[in-house]
Amino acid sequence: MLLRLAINVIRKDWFEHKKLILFITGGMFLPMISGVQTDLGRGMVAGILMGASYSYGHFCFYAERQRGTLQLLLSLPVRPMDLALAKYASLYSMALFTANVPGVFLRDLRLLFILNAFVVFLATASMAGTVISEKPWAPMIPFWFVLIFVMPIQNVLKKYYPNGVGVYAFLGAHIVTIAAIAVILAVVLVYVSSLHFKSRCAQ
Amino acid sequence: MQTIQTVRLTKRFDKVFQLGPLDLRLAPGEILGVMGPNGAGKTTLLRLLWGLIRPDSGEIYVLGMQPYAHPVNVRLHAGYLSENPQLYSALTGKEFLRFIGEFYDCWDNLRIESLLKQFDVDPDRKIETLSKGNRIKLALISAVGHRPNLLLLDEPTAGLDPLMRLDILDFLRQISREEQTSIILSSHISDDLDQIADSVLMLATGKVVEYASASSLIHKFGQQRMEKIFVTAISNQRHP
Repeated sequence: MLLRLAINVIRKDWFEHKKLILFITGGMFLPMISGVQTDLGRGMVAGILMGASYSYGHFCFYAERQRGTLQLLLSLPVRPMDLALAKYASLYSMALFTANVPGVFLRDLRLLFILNAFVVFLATASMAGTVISEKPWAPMIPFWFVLIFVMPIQNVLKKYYPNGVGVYAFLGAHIVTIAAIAVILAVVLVYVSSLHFKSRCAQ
Repeated sequence: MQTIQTVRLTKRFDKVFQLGPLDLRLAPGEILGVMGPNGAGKTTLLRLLWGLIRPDSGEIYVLGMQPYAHPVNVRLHAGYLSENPQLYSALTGKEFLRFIGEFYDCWDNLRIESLLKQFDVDPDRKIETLSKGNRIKLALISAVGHRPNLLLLDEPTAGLDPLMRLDILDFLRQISREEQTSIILSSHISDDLDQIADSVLMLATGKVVEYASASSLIHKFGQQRMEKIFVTAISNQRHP
């Protein structure tokens, strides 16, 4: 039943947003051509995946709420929690398509796994914000945390907290483990936000 | 068995507004018109019956089930059209109906095709290009594609031209008579209720002003039009 619902929601969302998905995914080919070994290439990949995570989270859930179609979905014979889970499935179909279709040209499974974990976690966090809160800035919350990693953090740490440089280096050395933890966290976020949505709908 | 039965149904919103207590009964094939000014509680009543909100006290049975406890089961056998329904403007009518149809096991594609022809709605056009009337017709088609036993309609004819209104009212009368579909129709436009309602519930600020069969209301007040009956009933309440 949930699978049938998810397939239906995924098909509808793809019909609706196919141009956006193809545009963003097309953009991902640019850094693949220019090479992800350069700073420019890595920056482009990170930027496009961040944009994709935000956009897909926004269009999968926040836009439904804003234009009133979430009310239409909630008036159909479907449990709110199942609906939220189906929407997450739709989000992942888009996010993983964008990360993996160009990503296969990397021929680097380790990097591809890290990219997948990055996009899954960010997209989940972005959509979880909109599932839990009706505030328009809710999907932006996870990006404030991403900024921490984008900032020249090593320089800041060296200046204000020299012991932290070691921690930063440790995290960098265990990036695959961190990626795996991010995926687990994403699953927890999906469950918690869907439960919250269910309890709010029941009020 | 009654399609709908409510017993002392009450819903409050922060001490500002209270709907009820309401004791309603709706038989199979009956059309109940709900009328009242803005803020009378018409939409709240429909949302309670659809299980979108929980009552504060009293009981509701829709098709023998409590809608807030078993919303999925109720909705599989009933249809709902909200006021100003929002549809997916980027989809075509066909894509939209296919999406909605996947939620129901007994979706009737032949009926959908015949209704699209009957209402003269082009299913291959994007919803954003359809007129308001055609969007409402499309939403109505999506609400009846699974042959529901009950149809809840919140101001379905608001803002429509007279011809479209008549199309919709004719269709509602047809399914209530031929398929024994019970219908609750909330409307500002008392003309709609004059034409098709078997019984009428009149609400003002959440309280029942009158609730009886259309014929008995006409007999009691000596007026043919529900609008005039409503005005008389309200003034009788204020100046007994």
